[in-house]
Amino acid sequence: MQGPYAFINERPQSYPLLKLSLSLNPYTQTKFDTLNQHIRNTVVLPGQLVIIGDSRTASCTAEEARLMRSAQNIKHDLLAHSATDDFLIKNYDQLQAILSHASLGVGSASSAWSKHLAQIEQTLMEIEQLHKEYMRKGSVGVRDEFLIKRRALFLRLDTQLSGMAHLGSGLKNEASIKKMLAISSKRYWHHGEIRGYEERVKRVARASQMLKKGTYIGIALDVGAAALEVTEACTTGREQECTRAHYVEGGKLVLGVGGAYTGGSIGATIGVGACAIVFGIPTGGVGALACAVVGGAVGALALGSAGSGLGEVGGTFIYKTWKE
Amino acid sequence: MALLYIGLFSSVLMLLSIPLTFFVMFKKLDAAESYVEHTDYFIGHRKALRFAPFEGRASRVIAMAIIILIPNVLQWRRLVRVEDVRKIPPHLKFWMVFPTLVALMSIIGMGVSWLFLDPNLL
Repeated sequence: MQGPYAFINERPQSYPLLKLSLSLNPYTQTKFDTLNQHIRNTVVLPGQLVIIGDSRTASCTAEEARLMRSAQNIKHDLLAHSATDDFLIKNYDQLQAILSHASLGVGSASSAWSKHLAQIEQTLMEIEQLHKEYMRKGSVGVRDEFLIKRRALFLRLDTQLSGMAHLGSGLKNEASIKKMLAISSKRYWHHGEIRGYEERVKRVARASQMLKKGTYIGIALDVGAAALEVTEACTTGREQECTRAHYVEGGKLVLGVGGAYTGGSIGATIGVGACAIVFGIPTGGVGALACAVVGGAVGALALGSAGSGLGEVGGTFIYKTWKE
Repeated sequence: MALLYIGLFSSVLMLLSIPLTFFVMFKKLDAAESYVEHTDYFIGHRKALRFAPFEGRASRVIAMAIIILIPNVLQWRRLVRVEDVRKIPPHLKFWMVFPTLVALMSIIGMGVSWLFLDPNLL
């Protein structure tokens, strides 16, 4: 084997056992220990990167140093997200397929949902502001005005959280909004804050931000996956493989992204239309938005997958035709 | 092999439908929507999709095509009025329906070829 390489560990095993299974020669064993400081003398968990050094030299190369950094980062990420189980590794291909095919369409549809969550966040902040103002003034005279304003904001929040509309907000519409938000004037008076309120607002804001970035994450994943495949083919394969990868991955990317966008647009319209015709959903409500999100996601996933599959076949077909 | 050609042709058609839809959604959509702007179906779509990319214009073109193609079904559910749809000029009807049908045809073609194409090719 020319140059260093790395692989992903698939099951939990001890470091000596892993080392034994690799049948390394005595010269490379010392280097193996140096390169794999991140897993040395521990139980190697699934998902961790194992580095096999360049057998031509005893000293560390720049490529090996880069792999060591990657391995360290992967270890941190896995531990931080508690993802060190078999599920991620065993289903890596499926997860990657779902992410790269559907994320664009899901992102397009979910950006609409993110705006809905942003509106909930806005209402929550207005309620908090109203409470703060009332507590600052504290007079009995402003109490009636405060109650009227708060009732209006609660009514708005109630509409925003009705039915499926609470999904992603982390708030469940229960009998009393005050109970749901854990708002208590008495508590505010004593502690100077609405208990747990900040966490709720933060959570809604975070969900909104994540969904907002869905489209860009989708495109970045698609482009990133294609670039990785091309780089891999060009690094390890022959020139023919590299050229073929350009056609195949290019085809997959263009048709996958195009398909997801078209499927998402058509799916969202059909979703809203079908709900309106079948269920008679009041127009413009959050129910219609939920139908649009579901329809958009399904449409994008279906056409994105079809586009990606056909892009692969089409790319291969064009490459073969061009070669002949 | 025929399925492969159908799939590839449909894919190209789908890609061509994207710029066509972009042209229609920015140049023709507003004029066409002005004829049905008070209908529940249109208002519902506009509100539900107002935060989607480009204010949901791509989806609204398809919604307009549905209004033009099946006004009687939508009138039965009291979502549009047929007489409003009849007032839309034929050239606007064409611009709403044409890109939608191109996209739908491409989807059907892609779907059929993807489902029935030899798995070894995929």
